[in-house]
Amino acid sequence: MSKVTKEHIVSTTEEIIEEYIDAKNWESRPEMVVLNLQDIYETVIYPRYEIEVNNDVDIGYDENGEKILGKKVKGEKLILIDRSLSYPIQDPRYIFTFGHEFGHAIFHPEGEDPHYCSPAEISIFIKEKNRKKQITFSPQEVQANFFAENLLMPTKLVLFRVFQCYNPKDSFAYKGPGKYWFQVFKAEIYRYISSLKELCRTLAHYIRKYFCHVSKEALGYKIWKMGLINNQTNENFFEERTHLAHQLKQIV
Amino acid sequence: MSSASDNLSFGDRIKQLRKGKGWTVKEFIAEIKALGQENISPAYVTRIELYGEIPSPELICRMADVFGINEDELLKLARENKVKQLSKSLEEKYQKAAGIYRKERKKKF
Repeated sequence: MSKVTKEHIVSTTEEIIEEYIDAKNWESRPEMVVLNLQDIYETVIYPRYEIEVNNDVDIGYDENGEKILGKKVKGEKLILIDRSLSYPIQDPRYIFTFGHEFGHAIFHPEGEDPHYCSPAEISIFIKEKNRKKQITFSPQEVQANFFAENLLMPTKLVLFRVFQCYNPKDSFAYKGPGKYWFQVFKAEIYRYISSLKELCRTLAHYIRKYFCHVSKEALGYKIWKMGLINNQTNENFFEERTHLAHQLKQIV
Repeated sequence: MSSASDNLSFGDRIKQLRKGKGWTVKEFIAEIKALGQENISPAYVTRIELYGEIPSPELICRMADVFGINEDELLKLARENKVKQLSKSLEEKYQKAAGIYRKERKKKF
């Protein structure tokens, strides 16, 4: 069995998305592309991989007492999604778990190491190394997350939508908390932005409908990772300061 | 693998027959197209196999042809499944209407 690499995962997701776009007759019309995970599953993933989904099960809890959100059944082409996520089906956690478990089903077909797909594992935020909490990420969980990220938020499409929707000059400048002006398609809006993370979430908010309705957090993180934000402060993405905390810092 | 098809839904039976021939979904679609039937999409096959979609009698007969079996079995199974689905939906509508009626009656007092 060949080793799973980043390139392999990216090219697999690109093939799936291309096949989906082809089936919808959207080639060379990126403005038409609206990714819907259930539709991608019916059109490409089931016909190609024959993976089945059961979303009406209670999978239980892991040894830390955390809810297990999803599971790839060992030795079978079947993934389980916990019942608590399943209604409504556009719950972003359902979407991301679905994508994550597909990653396991496609790249780890024989089963997985005994890491459970609980919220900490499925979250795509990498914990800072100097945090006291020890969280080990099994390579398989990281790969499944990477797959979900690239399937639900393909880089080229995100780039297209960001530029189509916001029409920025080249990048968005973040100058610290304050009121920001956005052009959102043909409208103009003003928003108070309290942090770098919130800027990313706000940018994600207006375009998440094109990306399977993923969460603002997930899409905002993707936008930041793509280097689309020009951070002109020393604020760290992972350190979210509230407006009050920032003001206090300036006074003290 | 047992060849008994008791308690299988229509979709399960189609999947069983398709896998029996060793065909992927795409290959199955190609086989059907070769008989001159208009093109069906991979998504449609997914909905048949997994989500209880029942195709037209003509398409069912074409499927029986490519599988090399008598169409009566598939037509019967499709009819039973369809009747079950419609009864269930009718029952739900009845319960909903009865509930609304009861609510309205209570308001009169």
